[in-house]
Amino acid sequence: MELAERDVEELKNNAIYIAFSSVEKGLDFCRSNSIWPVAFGLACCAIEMMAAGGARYDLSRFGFEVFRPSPRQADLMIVAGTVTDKMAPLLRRLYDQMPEPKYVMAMGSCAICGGPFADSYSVVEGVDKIVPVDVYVPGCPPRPEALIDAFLKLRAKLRSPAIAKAKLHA
Amino acid sequence: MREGAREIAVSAAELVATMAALKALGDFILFDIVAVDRPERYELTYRLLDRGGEGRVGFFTVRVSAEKSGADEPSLPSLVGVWKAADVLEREVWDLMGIRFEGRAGLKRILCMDDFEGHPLRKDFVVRRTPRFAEAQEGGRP
Repeated sequence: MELAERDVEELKNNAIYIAFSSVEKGLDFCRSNSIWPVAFGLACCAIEMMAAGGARYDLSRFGFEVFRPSPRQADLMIVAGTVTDKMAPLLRRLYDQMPEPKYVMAMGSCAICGGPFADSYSVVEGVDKIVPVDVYVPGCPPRPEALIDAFLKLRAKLRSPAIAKAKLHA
Repeated sequence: MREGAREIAVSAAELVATMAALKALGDFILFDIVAVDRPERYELTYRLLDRGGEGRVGFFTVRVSAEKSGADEPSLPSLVGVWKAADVLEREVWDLMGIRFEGRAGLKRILCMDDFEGHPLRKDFVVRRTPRFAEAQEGGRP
């Protein structure tokens, strides 16, 4: 005990500060700063997604820019566009192929609820009927700023489990 | 012909012979097949791209009707023997409008899901939510 107090005193004198944390917390921090999305452009929302990744809006400022062509290298699936019944099994398969932990973003009206095509013979009424969705980005299509904001929301969720556990719709 | 009519109407029995004759002229390629759901019949419009103009391209149109006579799927002769391009176009027309093309193989769905029931662009098609892949999944929001 005496030894520990002396050590603390010594550390203070030498102006050494130590922050305690868990490994998991550190991993969350790293993960939240390097979200790799799988490119899943299905309709016009994909154009805004590309704009967000381009130089003008520059999603890479936050470390999110590495769009992967393979689900096995991705953390996040941005469903950007209309999901049809024919596409639904393939979307689910790609989601299943992503390594844990994985997140889904529903971008635009179509991915949220089917959008203007919800009454059609071939459109899934929202991608949340197929995979669990973490962030909904409203808009038709959403502007790149909205997508960047969604990324920041997801980052906050990754860093603080309290947000992830909150039952917002209960 | 180029100065005359840009559009002719033929019967189903004359369709293949007419198209073969047009192809033999050498200036036409099959560009599109459009089906329209009229009250008493389905009207098919074959659009031919006319490359014979001097530096210009135009269209030549051939119309055929298929009567709605009790049978669920009216049929027309297939054009695959004349133009290979008719293959996917006829599949699309059958998929969306339900017109059966006789004398060809592989008439299967091209746009809708393979197990889709009905032909969605018909006027009497009713959109109904049948249990499909989305509803059968676990993990989505209940």
